[in-house]
Amino acid sequence: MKSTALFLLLSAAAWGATAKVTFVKDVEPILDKVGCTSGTCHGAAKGKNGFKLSLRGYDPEFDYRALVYDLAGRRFNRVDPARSLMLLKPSMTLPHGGGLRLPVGSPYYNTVLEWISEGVEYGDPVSAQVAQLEVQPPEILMQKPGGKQQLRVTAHYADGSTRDVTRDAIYSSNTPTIADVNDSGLVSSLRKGEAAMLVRYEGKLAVINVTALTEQPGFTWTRVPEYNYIDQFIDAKLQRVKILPSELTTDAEFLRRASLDLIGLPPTVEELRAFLADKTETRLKRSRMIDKLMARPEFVDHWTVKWGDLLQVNRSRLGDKGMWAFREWIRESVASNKPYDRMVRELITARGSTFQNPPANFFRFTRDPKVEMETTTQLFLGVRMSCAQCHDHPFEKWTQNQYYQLSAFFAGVGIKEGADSNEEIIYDKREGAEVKHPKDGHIVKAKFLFGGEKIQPHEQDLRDALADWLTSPDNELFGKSMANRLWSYFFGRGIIEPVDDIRASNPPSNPQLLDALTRDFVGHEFDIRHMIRTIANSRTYQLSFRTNSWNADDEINFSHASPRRLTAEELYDAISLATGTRPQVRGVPKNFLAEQFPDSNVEKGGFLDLFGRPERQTSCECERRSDVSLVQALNMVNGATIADAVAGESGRVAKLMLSGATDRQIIEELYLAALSRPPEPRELDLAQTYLARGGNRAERAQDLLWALLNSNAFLFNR
Amino acid sequence: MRGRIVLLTGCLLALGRLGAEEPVSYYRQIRPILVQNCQGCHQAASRQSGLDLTTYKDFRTGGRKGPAFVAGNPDQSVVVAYLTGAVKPQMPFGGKPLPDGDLNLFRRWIREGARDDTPADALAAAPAGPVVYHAPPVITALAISPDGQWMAVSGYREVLLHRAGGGLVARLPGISDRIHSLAFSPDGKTLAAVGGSPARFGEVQFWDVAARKLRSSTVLSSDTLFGASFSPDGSRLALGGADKSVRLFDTATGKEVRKIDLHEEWVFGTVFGVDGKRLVSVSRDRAAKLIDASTGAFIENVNLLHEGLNAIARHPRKDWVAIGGDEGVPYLYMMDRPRAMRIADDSTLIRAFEKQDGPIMTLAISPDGSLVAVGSAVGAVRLYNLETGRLAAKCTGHSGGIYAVAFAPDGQHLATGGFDGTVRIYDLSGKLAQSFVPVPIAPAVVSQR
Repeated sequence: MKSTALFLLLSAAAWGATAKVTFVKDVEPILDKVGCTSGTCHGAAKGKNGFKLSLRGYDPEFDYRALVYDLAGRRFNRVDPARSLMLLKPSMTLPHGGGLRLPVGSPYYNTVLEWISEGVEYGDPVSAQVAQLEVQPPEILMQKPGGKQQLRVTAHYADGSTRDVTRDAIYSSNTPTIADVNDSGLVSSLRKGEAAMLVRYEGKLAVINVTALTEQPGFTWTRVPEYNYIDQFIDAKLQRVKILPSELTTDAEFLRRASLDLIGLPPTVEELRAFLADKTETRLKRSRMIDKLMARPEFVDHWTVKWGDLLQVNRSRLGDKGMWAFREWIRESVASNKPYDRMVRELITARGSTFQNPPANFFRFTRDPKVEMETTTQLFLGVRMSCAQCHDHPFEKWTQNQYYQLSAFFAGVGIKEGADSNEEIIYDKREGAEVKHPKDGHIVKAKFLFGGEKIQPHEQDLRDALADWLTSPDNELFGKSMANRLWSYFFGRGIIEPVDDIRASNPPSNPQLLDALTRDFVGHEFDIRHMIRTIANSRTYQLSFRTNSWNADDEINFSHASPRRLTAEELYDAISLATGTRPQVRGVPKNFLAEQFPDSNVEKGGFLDLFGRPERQTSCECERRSDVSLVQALNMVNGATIADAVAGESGRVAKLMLSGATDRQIIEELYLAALSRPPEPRELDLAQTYLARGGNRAERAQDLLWALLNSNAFLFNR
Repeated sequence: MRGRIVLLTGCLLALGRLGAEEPVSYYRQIRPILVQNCQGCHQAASRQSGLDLTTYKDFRTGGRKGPAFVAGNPDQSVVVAYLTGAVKPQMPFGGKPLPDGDLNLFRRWIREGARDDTPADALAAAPAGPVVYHAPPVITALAISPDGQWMAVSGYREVLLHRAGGGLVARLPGISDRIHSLAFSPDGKTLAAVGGSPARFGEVQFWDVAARKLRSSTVLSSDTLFGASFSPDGSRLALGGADKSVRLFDTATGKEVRKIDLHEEWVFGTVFGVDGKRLVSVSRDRAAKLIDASTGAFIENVNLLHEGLNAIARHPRKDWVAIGGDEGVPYLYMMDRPRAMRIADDSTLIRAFEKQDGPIMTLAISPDGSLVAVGSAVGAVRLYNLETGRLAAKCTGHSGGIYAVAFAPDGQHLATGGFDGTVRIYDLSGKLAQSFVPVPIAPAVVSQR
């Protein structure tokens, strides 16, 4: 035993003495760490001052050639290694635009010097491949701001060896205002909150979550009822980070919120009155209302708008007939609650006439395998691949090779003209069905992004194989990204946010919850309505937007509702409902609500576009804007949309005037119609005083409605 | 503790006294501060505000704000105003201001007359005596004399003159770290060696072959020179440079006679036409430019632009040139257009050869005009038949890139050199006839490490 240990020691020592410095294992990491390969320096697309390296060192072979072979070996000096240009410049012995990077005699300088002295060996890229990056501690919880924690990073190589690379790894924080990390891996927390530390080394990435607490004197966790598993995971997190959730919403608030989120419309005065009068126990009453709303035809309208955004249903690309056909397919899918996996499969594998088989329209807005791949991954996996088109993804594991391998699945998509005008046929190409790698033009073979070992992609139907892989219950990102997206529709942000930018460096705020939602979604065979119902029935969804002293600054843990501006269509329809008017719109059937408009060509350039209706040009959820602007405010205050609606001849105010209602009745109805709640006593007093001031009573009632429509309580879903 | 303070004070006093006695040295004190803090932006390659601070002369000339200093008057000197922040933006731009000690050095040096004490041999900065090699340097250039007797090979800070069949006969030392190009004059009496030290200077050397004597050396530009070629009558030497220029030198006097600025990037190769009236230069800017040798006027681009070009060679009897570069495809072009030029016209192209596995670094055409030798950065030399374009032979055995190829005047052999530092001589079937390391290798010493 003893002799074995001794032998190991001796051989280790011998190995240490003979192991040469190699480029792949020792030098390339230095180029990355000191910044040579950064995007603003020699890693730029055109390099710097005639010297180009690959961005963040993703292509070591290229970098080796640049340093050793370029310009007949100009950058290294075998006879007098210390006079190598690659040392003279970064040590500022000779002028260097990039400044001092390798001070003479520093450890990195010495490593490079040694490498040159020993004969600029490239090394074995296979054994020097970093298989895994291990960071200790794997998670950091700091009880108060100002805490510090040193990370320790170990690289595990493909050949089984390990190395402490704490000094050499590259660190950054996704929220440096909460916790930051310095060049040597020392984490410091600055204020209460959560942040993720990114650790990069040789193409591998690790993420360390940091939770910084403040001392919260007087905090005690108060147990509240949990309606379903969502509340369990939310409460567990809140308890850990010392946050108390808000109170439950009032019934009126709940009904407005649930109606807007489920059917895109605020409740009518009658619905409100009935709901408020119903004495059933709160939770049950709300649960029944959720079912009722989900059974409404407007539910289909509302979710068709969301799908229309994502699938870019837009006649400028699809033509009138194609657009209507595609929209109808979506409506039917939503109405029949088609399982999500089936819906995606129908899109990905669509062939034939865009009129006969509407999902084939999916392939008409891109017409490029690369864009089709990017759209597919962003929509159905929540992954943005576009960075990897030109170089390996800087913040993710996706490589340039993978970008083209996945694109190759769409290489065979052919589009030809159909018999009718504007009809197109999607077919499988036999020739030219290939994607070429930009580096050397070789034809790239289709390969899944990850997993998929059980699926055999065969030449004839690559898209079918892709659909198998994409929609498989084993494809974790497929269910997760949709569960996360659905969640965001009810809370204004995803558990991972943005919802279509899932990556290791963008961690979920509550991973256990997201996993549970994903399991539930996959377990219920991708039943979207089941997910909607589950989320809406959680207590978390029904929390008030009013904060308490413990959760006022929480923005990511769903401890209170976050007011969301009504979407363009919601706002347009809410104005119609509140004022009892229905503007006539060209190009759609009479009495269509904005939620039923098929695309952004209806009422183009008007109110809806001002309030952020997307043109449907991209697959990014971000194309629908939810911003608040001065122009919007001016339009609400002075614009024709509101002014015409409140003064409508057959509108609500006009009818109230004719009905002989008292001032009090008028005021109560206007509050219910606009804000979905009865007026408070003080509001009632004020309004009564105003209406009683004499003059034109109808105009005064119109003024009141105008004022209510311009309040935050109307403009926001909260 | 107190003892230490006294000691420290003593040191300071000593320093102060030393400072009072000795005037500030530009070369030893001011220049290093400029190197460390200023030259990154104020150098020939970037010249922010028109200012280059790499030599005393450039420093004195100054940039857009006029001369950098007024000797004897620090307070009126631009450099002091910028360094103290009296004029914005304060220098070093975006960095920490210089410590007071350094500022005082500038003030004192200017007050004392701002004298230049750069030693005359500053460029060379070489250790005395011949270079001692423990490993063969990368071969960047080789040339064989017209009579076939001599082979010149690049070394480190020298040219090695060998008998063509091997056998070192002379070492021709110079100040340039790298010799990028070697050329014998047509009469064989003169050897031109062109190179320099990277990011420092370029140099043109003319050697008297028989006497093994340096006839002239011209230092110019702030980086190395490349691609030397003699005119057919031997009176002129053309060369390219990192400063994007093509230059013509007079062989007899060793003096520059013309500087031609047509390229947008480094110029790596030149060649004269058969009658010497025109020349073609190739550059990283992708162009092979046809130039009137007597006026320096641009005639036209010979080629369609693809990627950066590294090498050029001319047919022995025709105005045909082989060019190659980063794309890896050797092209054969004629210098004269067969018909009037049209847009995207490539009518001058005779032939494109097989794409190599890496960037083409060097080219040569055999004395009888039948073969072109192509050396690339991934260590292969291939011979192609100029008429048919077919691969004639492969010369293998190298490790690393090939940077120099030369046919022997008898047309029977090809010499190659590159990354591995070994000269290899092949017959035209690709069979290795001979190989040798051109530099004397000192016996190995035991590493101290």
